[in-house]
Amino acid sequence: MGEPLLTVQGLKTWFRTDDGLVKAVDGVSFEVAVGETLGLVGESGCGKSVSALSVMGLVPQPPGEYAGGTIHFAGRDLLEASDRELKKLRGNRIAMIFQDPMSSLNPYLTIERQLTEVLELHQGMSRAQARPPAIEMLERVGIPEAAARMNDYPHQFSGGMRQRVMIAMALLCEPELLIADEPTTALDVTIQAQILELIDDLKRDFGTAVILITHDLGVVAGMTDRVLVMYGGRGVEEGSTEDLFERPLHPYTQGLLRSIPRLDDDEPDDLVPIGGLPPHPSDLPPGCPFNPRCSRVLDRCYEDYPEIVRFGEGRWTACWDVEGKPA
Amino acid sequence: MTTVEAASQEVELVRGTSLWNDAWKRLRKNRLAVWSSVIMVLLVVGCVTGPTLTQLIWGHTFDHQNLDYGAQPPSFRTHTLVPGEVVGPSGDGVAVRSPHGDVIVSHGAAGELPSGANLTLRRSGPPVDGVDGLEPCRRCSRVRAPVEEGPHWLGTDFHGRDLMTRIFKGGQVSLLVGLLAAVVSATIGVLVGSVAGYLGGRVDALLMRFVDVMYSLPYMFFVIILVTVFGKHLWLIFVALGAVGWLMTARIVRGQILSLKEREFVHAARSLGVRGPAIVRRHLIPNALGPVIVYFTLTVPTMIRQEAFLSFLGLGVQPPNASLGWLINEGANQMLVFWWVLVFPGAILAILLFAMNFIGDGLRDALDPQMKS
Amino acid sequence: MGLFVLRRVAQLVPTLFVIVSISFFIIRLSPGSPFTSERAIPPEVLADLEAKYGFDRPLMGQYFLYLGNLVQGDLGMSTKYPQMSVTEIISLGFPVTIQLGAVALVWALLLGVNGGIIGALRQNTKWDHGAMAVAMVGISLPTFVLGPLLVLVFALSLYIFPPGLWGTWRHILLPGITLGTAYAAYIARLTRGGMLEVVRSDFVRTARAKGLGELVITWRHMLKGGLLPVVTFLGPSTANMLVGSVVIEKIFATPGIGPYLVDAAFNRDYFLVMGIVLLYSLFLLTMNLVVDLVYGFLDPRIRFE
Repeated sequence: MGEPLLTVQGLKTWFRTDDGLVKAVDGVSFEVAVGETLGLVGESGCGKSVSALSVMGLVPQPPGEYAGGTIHFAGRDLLEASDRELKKLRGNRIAMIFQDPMSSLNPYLTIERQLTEVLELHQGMSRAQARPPAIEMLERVGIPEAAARMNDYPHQFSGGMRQRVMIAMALLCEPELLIADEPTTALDVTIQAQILELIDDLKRDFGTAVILITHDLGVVAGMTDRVLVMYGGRGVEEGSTEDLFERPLHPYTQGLLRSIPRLDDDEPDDLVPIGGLPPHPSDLPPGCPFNPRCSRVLDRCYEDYPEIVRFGEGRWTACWDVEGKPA
Repeated sequence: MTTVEAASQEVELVRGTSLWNDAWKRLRKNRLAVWSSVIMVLLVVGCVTGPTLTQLIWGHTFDHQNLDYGAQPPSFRTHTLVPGEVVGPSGDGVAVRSPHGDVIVSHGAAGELPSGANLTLRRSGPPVDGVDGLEPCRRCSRVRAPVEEGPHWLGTDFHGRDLMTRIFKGGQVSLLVGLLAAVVSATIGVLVGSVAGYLGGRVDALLMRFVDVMYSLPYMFFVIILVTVFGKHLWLIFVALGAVGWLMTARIVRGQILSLKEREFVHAARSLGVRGPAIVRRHLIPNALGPVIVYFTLTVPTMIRQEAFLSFLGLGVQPPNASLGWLINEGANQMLVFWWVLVFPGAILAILLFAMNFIGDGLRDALDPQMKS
Repeated sequence: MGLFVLRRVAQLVPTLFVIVSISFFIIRLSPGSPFTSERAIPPEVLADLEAKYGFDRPLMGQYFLYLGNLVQGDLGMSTKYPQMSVTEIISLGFPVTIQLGAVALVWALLLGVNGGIIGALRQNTKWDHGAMAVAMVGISLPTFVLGPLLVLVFALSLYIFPPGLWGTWRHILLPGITLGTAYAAYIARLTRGGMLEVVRSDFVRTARAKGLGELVITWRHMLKGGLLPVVTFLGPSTANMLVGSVVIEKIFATPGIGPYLVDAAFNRDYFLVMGIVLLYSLFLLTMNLVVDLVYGFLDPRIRFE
């Protein structure tokens, strides 16, 4: 692993709502090295999006609050940073693309306005100066006749094209870290592959580190260097993508893998879904939050949260039932 | 009833009760709405019982003019009336005529009064228009007897009428007009809206086109025309207001029905063989009810305001009857000299509308939580 | 877009025709006439009068005569003000009313939009609650209460503004504020609602993720979408403002069109009532068209078809 760009240590992001305290993220740690791609995987409500928003400093406060932990980006503690400093980072050194390209672009403004304002803000360009690089970036993400489409509004683009515009917008300032929150979930399956490929290409070209957030292990497989699996607001297993797919340690990861079809699987019929539903973050069971759905549940799983068991550099899991197992 | 229908109704009931329970819970948490409801209840009770109470206690009526007593400022004191002339005995009391010819009966002062007596008579009954009902005055002495007049907490108007009683009475009229006009408009609106929404097609297009055209008209002018044409009768006012005010309700109901028609439970009911009218009655109307109730509670203050608007222009209720708008009209004409004749009716109308709007808002937030956030 | 405007203007004609017809027959089929309320008029004079205004003809004849005159721009003569044509009365009063309405509108927008933005951006704080409570007072306080109260305070006690009449800007201010306040309150609520829809939208989150400041986010990214409900409201309400000005003009003795309408209604001045109703309808329909155009300008997803 290379030099860390982003280090998240024991992050806790909680929400005070009318229904009580919701510990959406409750002690997540991960690192992203320069140019590396990390996959954050989990079902909805596991805290992966909130973790990403916390890194961006976009958690609305209130009701959100940072209850603990640190986030270091390029040596700076983001949770301690001033609003001003954060604004300088956002869209400039850390960029984010969102799930739904339909609603994430401003429907009332032209593409040009939404692209150029990033360069105006972070690179001090005038609007006229910002136009050529914006067009260039649009071409680069594969928008045909980019110059002619600058004055179009988002509704005049298809879903896939809109996501390309979002990506162009995020990459304008050549950020060191790109957070992609379910970038393909809202798109057609054929478009999904194209967008993933595009992100993959661009990250190589720019040397950008990427956090790819998804509920779909299949998306992670071809894209990421490492994967962190999350459940109930915490990480349950981390490893290199290859290792994690070969030898999943946590029963949850194993369940996830069993529930997706694999190309190298001889018997495609034995898909097994994980029983039960993911818990709501406001209502986690005591002990290991996975205990109601776990096939290998032990008595102590109902009492204590599992300790982290390490199997070498960047390879660990949090489960009571893995002691002594070979890595 | 078939089992299918019973079952579908039961499902509906479960859904219904939880919806209303939730709404009720949310409404109770809304302190503004709760206080507004308390104020509203007080105002309604006050307006309904007020005129009777002030008459029973002090003998004030809303249309009794007492020119000796014109334009008195608000006061809690019991005032002394200009000495009157004893007309004669009346029952167990005496009748006294004020210099303006107004006859006041005072009970409990039986017996003939000696000439030159200096009695203080407490007015304990309503004023009597003439002396017809009185026993003939045999030895009618020109006795000058000061009469006590009940207090006017909110003062009197130019003609010496008790302002508080008039405000209560005016409030009655305003509430009645507002409520009835809102009922008229809601009824027409629900009928038109549900017919258009359920039948759809050409009927819908025709009705909604009509609503659109009506909506693009300056509707207060139509009310003004209707009122001038058909006379300024109280009943006509709310018919006119209601007949023009149903447009929005019709649109809301139609929209609700259209969207509900496509919901799963309606499809389910239809596929189970429940027939059209039953679907409308059992599924569509109860579910469209929330927005209608909300709009209704917001229509009442609108109607009250519009009646007041008409009355203020002199096109509403006619004297001696009074609505709050008419009282404000009178007050605005006299405010140069007597501030209270404007301020009190104005404040009561504002508080009334204020409370009703808050209740309507609270209901909307309670019944449609999505709209709040 | 030019085509769209043309088509909409063409649509005005049948709508106005319906309005004219409905009001004509409602007014005419009612009992009474412009000359019944006054003291007894000798029959021969009455006949003269009726002949002068064409009331001696059959109703359908009068209707077509009115329509014919209307097409030529002749709105008829007033019966209450016998020397004046309806057109003259309108050209006398309407400009005053329009000025009053313009002042009220500017006041309403200034107060309402800013209040609504504050409410939305500081949702559920005391700023928000304060602004919305004030808005509710504005909505609940009818103009005919607010107007006299303002006169009482600012004209009769503090002597800052004249209590009525017309002429200088000082005359416009009190009635303009009175008329505009209720609309300011509605606009504040609508702005707040519209902005709240936008505040939580994904594209505002995107704008934050770009590192934009709150001011740019508010004015560039949120306001266009947030003001859409206000624009929808402005069409009919600008016209309603003219109706409201009837009361204002009575309170402040403003020489607008309002007093003429009340007078005309009281005296069954057929042509004057018709003329004013027609004028207001035309104004309302025009405002609706303007609103649709502004809407299309604000929301690029709307196509003019």
